Formats: sequence, C-alpha cells, structure tokens
Amino acid sequence: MGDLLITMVPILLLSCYYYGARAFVLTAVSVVSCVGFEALYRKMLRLPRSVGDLSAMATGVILAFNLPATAPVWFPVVGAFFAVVIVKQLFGGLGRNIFNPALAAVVFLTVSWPGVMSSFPLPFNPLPAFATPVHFETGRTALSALRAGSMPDNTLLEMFLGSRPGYLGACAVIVMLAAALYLLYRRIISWAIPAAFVGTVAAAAAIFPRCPSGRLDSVLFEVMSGSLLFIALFVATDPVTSPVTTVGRLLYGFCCGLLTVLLRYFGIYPEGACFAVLLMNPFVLAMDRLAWKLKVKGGTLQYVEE
Amino acid sequence: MWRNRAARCGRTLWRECASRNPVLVRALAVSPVLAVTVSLKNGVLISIVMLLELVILFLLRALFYRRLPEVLRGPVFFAAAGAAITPLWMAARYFVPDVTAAVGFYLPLLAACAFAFVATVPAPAPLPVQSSPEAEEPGAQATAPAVRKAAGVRRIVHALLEAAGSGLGFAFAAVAVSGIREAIGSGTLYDRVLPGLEKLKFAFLLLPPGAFLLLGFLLAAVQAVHLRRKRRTRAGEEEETSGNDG
Repeated sequence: MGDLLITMVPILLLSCYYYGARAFVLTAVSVVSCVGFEALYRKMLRLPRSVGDLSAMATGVILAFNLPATAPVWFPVVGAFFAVVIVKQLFGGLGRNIFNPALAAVVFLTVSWPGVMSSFPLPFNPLPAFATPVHFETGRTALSALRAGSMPDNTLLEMFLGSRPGYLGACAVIVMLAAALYLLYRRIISWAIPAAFVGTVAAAAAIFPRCPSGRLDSVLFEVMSGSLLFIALFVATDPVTSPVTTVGRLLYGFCCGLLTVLLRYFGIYPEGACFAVLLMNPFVLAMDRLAWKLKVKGGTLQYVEE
Repeated sequence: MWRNRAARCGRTLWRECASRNPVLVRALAVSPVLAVTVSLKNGVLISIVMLLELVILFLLRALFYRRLPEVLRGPVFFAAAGAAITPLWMAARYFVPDVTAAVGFYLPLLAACAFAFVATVPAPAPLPVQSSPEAEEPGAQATAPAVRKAAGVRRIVHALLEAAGSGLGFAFAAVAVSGIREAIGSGTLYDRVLPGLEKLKFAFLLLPPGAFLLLGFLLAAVQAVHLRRKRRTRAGEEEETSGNDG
C-alpha cells in the first residue's frame, strides 16, 4: 500500500500543476475523510483499529483522482462515507469487500450528481481552492467527442501529457505509465489485468473505430481518454477485488475491457470503465475457480474462512 | 373480562405491528416498499390498499382454512388474493388515477405480498368439537354450541386483529420509507415543498440502490432497538432473581 501511495504523489503533483491548489485540497479532504470515517466506524463498533494498513488512504487518493477539479469540497466527504463505511466496512472490512470501495463511491457520485461529475474544466484555469467554482470554462472531453463521432479537441500529444479536460488524477498518461512500470517492477501489481483490459479496449477500438481520422488514431484516443488507464492500472489491480490466478486475471481484464467498450459505445454515460470494473467485481471468485479448475484438472477452489 | 380481552387484542395488534413487522422484521413484501415509495402519496396509497386486502384475505382464511384440504389451501388463497385486489385496484384507479398510474403494476403485486403475509401466519386453531348429545349431561348440552360459536367469533376477531396489525406494520414501513425518500430526494413532502430541504436534493435516494440502502439502515435500526430491549429485559430478570436470592 505504501508503494501505491508513493506512486500517486507524482500524479498529484502534476494535477496540482494543471488545476492549482484545488487539486491538493480535494485530495487532502478525501484522504482525511476516508481515514476519519474508518477510524470512527471501528471505534464506534469497538473493533480493532485498521487505519494502519493505509488502505483507507489509498481509497481516499483514488476517489479524489476520479473527481473533476470543479467538484465541491464536500463531494469527497460524501463519497468517502459511501466508500469506507458502506462498501468496505459493512461488508466486513479490508479483504472482505466484494466491490472496490473507491470505484463504488465514484459511481455513486456520478449517479447522484451527474451534472457535477460530467463538467470538466480546462487545465491552467485559475480555480478557487475551497469555494465551489461557479463560472469556469468547460472543455469537451475526448470521450464526448468520440461519442458524437467527431474528432477530439485535443491532440494526441496533449492527451499523452495530460493537458486535457478530465479527472484530477487521470490526466497524464506519461506519469501513469511510469508509475505503473515502477509498481510492476516492485511486483505490486500484475501485468495480466492491465494488459488484458487495455488490450481488449484497443482491439475493439481498432475493429470498430469511432474516431474519423483512422484506426490508429482511434486506438490511441480510446486508450488514453477518460479514466481508462488509471482504472486499469491502479484500481482494477486492487488485490482484494481482483482474481489471483493468471488465467483468471486475463479473463477478468478481458471482460472488463469488453464491458467498457460496450458501455462507452452504447451506454448512457460517456465513460464506461468504472462501471465495467464494478460489474465484474462479483465474478472474481468464479473466475478464480474456473482458472483453478482448468489448471488442476478436477480440482476445486474453496473459499476458506480465516 | 373485557379488560383482559382488550389487553389481548392490544397485544396481538402490537405484536403484528412491531415485533413481527412484516417488512422491517420478517422482510416480506419488500418489493413494493422499495419500488414505488418515491413519494408519500404512493406510500399512503399502497398502505391503504394493502390494509383492505389483508382484512379481506385474513377473513377468508379464518372462515375457510379448516374446511379446505391441505393441498388446496395455497392455490385457493392465492386466487382469493388476486380476486380481492381487483375491486380495490379498480377503486384506486377511480378515486386517485394519477397516483395509481404512478404506482403502476406494484398495486396488483400487493396481492402476492398479502398472500405471503397470510401464508406465514400460524394456522387458525381448530374450534372445539361438538360433542355427541348422549355422552353429555343434560345441563352441559346447552353450552356446547354456544362455546363453539364463541370460539368461532374469537377466531374471526383474531384474524381481523392480525390483518390490522400486519397492515399497520406495512403502512408504517411504507410511509416511513416514502416520506424519507420524498423529503430528502426531491425536497417535497406530499407535494408540498419543504423550505429547508429544497437545496439538498439527493437524487440517489429516489433510485433503487438508494431505496435498498435506506431500507437496510431502517432494518438495522429496528434490530438495534429490539436487541437493546431484549438486553434490558434480560438484565431486569437477572436483577430480580439475584434480588430474590440475596
């Protein structure tokens, strides 16, 4: 967990560079409220303390990075309550939650306040640090452009460097790739889930391109737009809510990618990755069982209570 | 004697409504409570229709449970539930057409829920058997039919009380959920705008997952109250016994 938090720091610095102090304020509020709700819950129910495992901090950071920079300051607090108390603690705490808490909170906020979550400011615009910004220039995200069948407003280089309207943490592809390489080197995340996830989306974008300027552009835009890379690299690889076996991981990544493409092309919201991972979370155990059965012919994988 | 009877009636009513609340304790008929309670008007409508349906169904059950062979009891009462909801549904469509349209098909679904209530209540006790005239003394012959009749009346009254209790329990759950959902979800209550909550419009509560979460928290609150009462009565009994010993 600590390594994950270390890799989040450059992403946070870059988002502060693009969106100002507001990015830091939102992230700080999110982390503090996640940790606070977890400590409060454990204390009220007289359970052993679990704040030390830093998972609440990771949840806070991931939740904040999936918000647009113009979200009100109380947004992460509500999301933190939903993520930590309802999705994580009420299901049994760390290691027992079925759904990824940060992602579930993002979906909860998207469904409850869709207007706020889908208005993205242009980078390098001054935003107030604490007050809710009222007048700001909104940019059209690449996903909205692709959905309408037109060319995105940003060039490929801008998408790669991250100076595009988007979520706080999902902006810079280059920093996310560097962070992912570091985590892969340290063996914290596995290669199978991101490879299958992004590979499936790329393949679908190549076979059914949405960008009018050709297949290669379509693949690159689809892969770099929205929060796909962030979710595939840091959220879908969460060890609690992802499979353990390699075959299971590949299957999980493939299904997540397929669902992302279907939701992006035919769904209501322009972004589909967060919904796709949440939809695949309940099937993780079944995928592990299938992989184990394939590996050990006739063997079964049982869920053992500790 | 009448005070005893009144106390027994009150106890039955309270038991069906609170400690055996069909929605909040036994988790029956959760579907209409979750689906249509987006406004208080809907909640009140389904509560009234459910209460009338339950009264009809419990009465039929009190009258015909023992006369039917065991195999036929389920199908007959299920059909009776469907038959009983039809005039109620038509009346609702006549009197409040817009609210009935908003509730949709969950109003006739209340028939299935009422059947679930009725099927999970203990069977009515058998009436005392009418003894043959020769075996009894001459003085007791006159009382046997009267005793049977009184038991029959008691059974009907008990059925009505159970129906009223279940209906009131369902009404409490439906009104509570719909009131909270409308107040916090759309800032109105019974279509009157609430001044303070207008800004808070928390649309998540109007959607199905919000309903599930809300009902879950309500169920947890009810269970917490029950547990605390049980703990308090158990502590009270222990105090009494220890006081008697010491």
